[in-house]
Amino acid sequence: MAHVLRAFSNGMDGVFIGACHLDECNYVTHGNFIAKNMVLLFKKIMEHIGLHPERLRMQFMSGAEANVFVESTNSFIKTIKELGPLGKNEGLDEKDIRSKLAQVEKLVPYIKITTKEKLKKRLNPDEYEGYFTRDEIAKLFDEAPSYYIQPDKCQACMTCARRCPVEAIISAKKEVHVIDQEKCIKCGTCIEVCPANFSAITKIVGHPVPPPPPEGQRAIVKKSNEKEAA
Amino acid sequence: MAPKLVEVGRHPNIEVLSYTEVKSVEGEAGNFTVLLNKKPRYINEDKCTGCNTCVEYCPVNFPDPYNQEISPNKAVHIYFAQAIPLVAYIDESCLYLKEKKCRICENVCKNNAIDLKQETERIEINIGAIILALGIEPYDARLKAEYRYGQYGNVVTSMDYERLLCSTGPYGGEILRKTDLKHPHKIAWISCVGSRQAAEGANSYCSGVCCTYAQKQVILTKDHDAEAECVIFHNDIRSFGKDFERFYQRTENLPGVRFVKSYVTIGKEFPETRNVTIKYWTPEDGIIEESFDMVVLSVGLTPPVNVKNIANTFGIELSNHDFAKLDTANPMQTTRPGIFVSGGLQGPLDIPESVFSASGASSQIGELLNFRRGKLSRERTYPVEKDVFKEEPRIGIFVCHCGANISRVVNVPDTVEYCKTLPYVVHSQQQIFSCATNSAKEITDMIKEKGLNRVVVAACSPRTLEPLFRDTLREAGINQYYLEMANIREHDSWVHSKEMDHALAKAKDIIRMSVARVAQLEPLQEYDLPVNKAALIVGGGVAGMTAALSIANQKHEVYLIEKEKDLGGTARNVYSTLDGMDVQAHLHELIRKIYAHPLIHVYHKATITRADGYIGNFVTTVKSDRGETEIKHGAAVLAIGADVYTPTEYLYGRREAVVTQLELEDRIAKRDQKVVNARNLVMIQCVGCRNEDRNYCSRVCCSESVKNALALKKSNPKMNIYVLYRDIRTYGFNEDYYREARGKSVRFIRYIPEEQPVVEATGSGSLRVTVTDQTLQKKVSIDADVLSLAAAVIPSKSTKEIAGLFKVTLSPDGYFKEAHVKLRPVDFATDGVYLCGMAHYPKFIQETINQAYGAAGRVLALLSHDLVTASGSVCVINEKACMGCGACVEVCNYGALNLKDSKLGKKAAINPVLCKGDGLCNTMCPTGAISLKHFTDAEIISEIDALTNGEQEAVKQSAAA
Amino acid sequence: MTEAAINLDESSLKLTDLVSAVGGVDVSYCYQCGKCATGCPVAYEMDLVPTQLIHAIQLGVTDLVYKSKTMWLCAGCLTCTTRCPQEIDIAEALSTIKILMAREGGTPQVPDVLKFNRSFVQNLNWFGRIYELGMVGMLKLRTGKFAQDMAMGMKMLKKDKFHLLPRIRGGSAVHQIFKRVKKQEKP
Repeated sequence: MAHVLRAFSNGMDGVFIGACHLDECNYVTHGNFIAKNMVLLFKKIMEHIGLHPERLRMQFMSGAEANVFVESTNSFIKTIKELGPLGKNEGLDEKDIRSKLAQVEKLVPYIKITTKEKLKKRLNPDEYEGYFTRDEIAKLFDEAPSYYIQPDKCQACMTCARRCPVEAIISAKKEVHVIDQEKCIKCGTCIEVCPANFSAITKIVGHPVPPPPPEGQRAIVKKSNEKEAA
Repeated sequence: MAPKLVEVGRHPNIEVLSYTEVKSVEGEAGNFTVLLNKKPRYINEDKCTGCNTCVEYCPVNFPDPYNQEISPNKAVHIYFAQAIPLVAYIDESCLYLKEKKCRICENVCKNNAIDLKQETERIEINIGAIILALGIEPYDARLKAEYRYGQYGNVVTSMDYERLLCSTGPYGGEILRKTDLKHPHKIAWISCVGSRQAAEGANSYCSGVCCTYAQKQVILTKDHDAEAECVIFHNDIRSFGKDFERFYQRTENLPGVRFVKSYVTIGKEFPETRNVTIKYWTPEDGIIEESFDMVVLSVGLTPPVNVKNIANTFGIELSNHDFAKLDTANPMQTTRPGIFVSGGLQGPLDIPESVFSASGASSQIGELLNFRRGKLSRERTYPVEKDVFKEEPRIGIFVCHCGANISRVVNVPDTVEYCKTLPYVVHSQQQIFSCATNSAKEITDMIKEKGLNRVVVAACSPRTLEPLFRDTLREAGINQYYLEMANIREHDSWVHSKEMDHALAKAKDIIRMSVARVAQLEPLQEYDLPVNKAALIVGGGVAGMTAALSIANQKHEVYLIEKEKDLGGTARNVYSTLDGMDVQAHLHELIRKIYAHPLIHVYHKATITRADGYIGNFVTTVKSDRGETEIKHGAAVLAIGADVYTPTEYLYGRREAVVTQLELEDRIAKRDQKVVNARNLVMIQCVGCRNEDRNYCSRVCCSESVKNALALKKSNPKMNIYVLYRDIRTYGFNEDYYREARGKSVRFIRYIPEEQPVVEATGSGSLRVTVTDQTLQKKVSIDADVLSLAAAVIPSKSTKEIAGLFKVTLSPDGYFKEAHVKLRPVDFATDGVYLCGMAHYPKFIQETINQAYGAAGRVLALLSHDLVTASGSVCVINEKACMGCGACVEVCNYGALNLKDSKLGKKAAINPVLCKGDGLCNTMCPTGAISLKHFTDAEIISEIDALTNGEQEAVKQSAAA
Repeated sequence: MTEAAINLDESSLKLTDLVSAVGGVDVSYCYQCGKCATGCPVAYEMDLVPTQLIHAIQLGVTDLVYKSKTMWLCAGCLTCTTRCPQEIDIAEALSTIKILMAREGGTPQVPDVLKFNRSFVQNLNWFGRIYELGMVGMLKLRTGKFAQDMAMGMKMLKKDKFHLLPRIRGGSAVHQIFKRVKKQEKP
């Protein structure tokens, strides 16, 4: 998905994916099934952000089917010519598109995690229609969570920072940890590993994350202190 | 197939002598002296680079034999696009050769490769063994005037049709009629042309492949033209191969496709349209004459035209069908020791059988010449690799003219200048043909001279020559993974020849992308793993034992595991084969050899409790009559055989008189009076398969029934034997025995699956079998004393378990699934594990022997080396970035990934030896923790960026201009 | 109404053996490919096409064989024999069935054909050569179809296609042949 995204972000008007026939993949992993699912998903995402899904096309063919290759690329070029430069037909300008695609790019890891089971499934062609729906995608985007470390609960144990796969958590001894929302991929590892008796991380859906405490004001509130205070 | 051709062409231990014939063979196995005649090509092979310039200029047109003489070619040409060696030859239609005129080609060849004075070269070679892999030829349909081939323009053979379908064919992949160059929309296929005929001028055997290839042609036709109407006229559909029954159904289910059971008469040709009529007959509709746009004759297979001369030259005998006469117990051994056959010279054969017979023949030669193994082999040596990892990229670009293939469309000098403007490029030059020996040397020299540490070769497809150019880098002391090929031929000059400006811009785009990518590439090492020289064979039947002996005879330790207390498998219940093999005698001989062999260790009553490891390094734990043993081995062969379906239909199990064919064979051998003295005996075919439960054909039953029928007729000629069938699938030479059975008055009654035979027990102890005879469309009944059911062959009960232990896959019908159905029929996708025998699919004993030797050949190809090399392009895991979700593990069918515990939770771990580099795990990984070396995100994104950003530069420039 | 099944009894091979003994044709080799039917110029009129008839002989369903029109309609063109992939002389097999029926007094489904045959052979026996008028006369007597072909007959007479009186040539020699064959055919 990231590669297709990149192409569109860079301003490509169309992306064509040529793949071997299903069940004819050289590898027993049969990745072309998953690629097809990815395309089905991405097309719905394109619709969601307002890009014409026909700008992405996947065609199955074997190495011996030069005629299929020629026909499908020519017909694809025709389609793209009719749709015009990226955004023109859809009424979006370059900046719009870039920023929407950038948003999607940020959510790719999260999308992969939530749609993992659906992406893995090997579908029959009659199952393509409606496998991913507009509503599903809209929900995916609307309900994309953000994770927030509550300053009053964090005990600076460093666990989440160590486990964060993209090193998105700013941490120091005795300082409340802060999730850098720009880097965060919403994988949910932090909330999983935060020790149960701290439970410092919350999942926020539907509204923006509160700003982190500014630097210099991140001393942790030691639980033991609290007890004493109480 | 092209990569295989290139592999053969480049192999240091293979010398290709093309356009060469054998004149004589003297000597004996282990020491032959062979005289060869190398016919003149009139081209100097060392100088020709396959650029095709001479072809362009040659003035002579003649019918091209490669395209079935449908389209013309030049007197000088390369036989076909992927020819190895990729060298032209001059045909006798050349003006110089005929009239001493012309010589244009000599003048235009830039490498002076044309030598019109060339003469036949005589070569003498001394060799230890010979394999005759002479192939087959299609039956010449002109031998039967009734098919009107050569008379009616729109009657073509299936070979002609293959060329029409092919994009390198006479009409560039369009199916056109020769008469008016229009597309045919209604096409008929006529089966059994030249086969299954007792008459003169044709062959009595069944060619085995035509039914399926006709179906293939129908499917491809429908791809070309969804509205096409295709009819296949046949007399039995012989879809007996693995997955062929499904293929048959797939064809049948296509709209507009009909299968009609009727041989036909070719009627008339309409003078205006040149359409051809066909007359056929069905019991429902009577005689019908239908008009077709095109008629395709499914021609059979015959031995090469001059096979008798060849047999003389090699001193071997031929069978009554003019194929090689072979030992029934060893279908690769001719009548002269040291001379083996593989493929079509054995008889009509499909590709998988051909491939494993080739491997089998080579295994037998391995046994013969084992004492000399390795003495003549050549290895490549390379200089020490420089470590350039810390250096800044210094890229050299070599833009190839490819003769005129590229330069005629893409302005090469312009491209070379453009390359100099790209980042990190320190050298850019053109070459006429980069693959030529002198050019490859030039690349090596430039690398050393200019201190290049990255190379881009802008030329053809990596599929053709990447190994060559990687080699070139190794010769210069640079890691071979620093090479990138920019395909500006297949992707550019060959497809945009009419838009030269765009082609030039695209070439620049492609090269720019390659430059961006090559700058990102890392040096990769290929893994050298040590190989344990022993082999483990699971299954002690004919397959397992044959493979075991062949491997052990080549001085490797073999561990043979058998689950029963006796060796022998299914063959213990088989007494004879149709071509007269005494199976029990052969079996006893095999078993005797197994026990006598010092290198073979047999484990009886064995079960496998654990199987670990990977290619060259397996560890398998076996519980057997020897206790519990841990066996270390480098290769494994799965030969676990198959079982027989226990029928629930037709009163089997409820009446003693109802038996399976295997049981019948047993009773015949034991002269059971009830069977031998029966008055009426009925056989029902296709019991338990070719139905919803088992959608495949068990392949051996029709022949088995014929065999039993003949045996019964021999002991009791008065017995009435009726065989109720759907299709009689006595393929290959077994067709002769089908005819013999009919001649002995065995009666064959056809039924359809919608109207299954009905069996009722009558009061008098006999069984009344009622069936609707399709030919007469009438119900007939027979009071049978014995009813024999051709019960399906089913996968062995142990298949699933063994598959799980060795991490191999199963096909939809539950048999083992090989790596590639045609080209790798004894390998699994899992390296180091092989298969043979009925575990692969039901087959005859001769086919099992063929395949067992084939598997042995593949095992030796592995075990004869001390090391096995795995590709460097494998995945690596950045543990820090791994969140332990396991998505990668779930999709890797190679078992290369697993989750391990660590201090920071579950992390993915990889066994690089098992990684095949398909990269699916990459796409599933949400964090980017796993990346595929040589295809990392950074490398791919750099290409995407280079393309689009470069374009923007171009747009800016043109806007500014 | 479903037909009862035809029971193939032990004597099912009898008809095949008979055809083989009398006609020298072994129909066992037939694998019902249908080629004979497709080449036969008169098959469109037949109730059982040649391949069906041969199969019926194989199964010994004498009733079905004898009740069919197939062999009586056979034009003797030998296309089937020429094209049979198993080299079975189908035309001869059909001919043999006619002979068997004629001998056993079976009722042909196209009776005129047998009557024509009898008229022809009898005529030959008497005159040594075919006396067309006499033969047609005998045929008319047998069939009772007097008016049939009269118009064509008149045209032929005008064109001198046949003679009003018989020409006897070698009649006695032919008669001898007939006598000898009849003696040989006696069971």
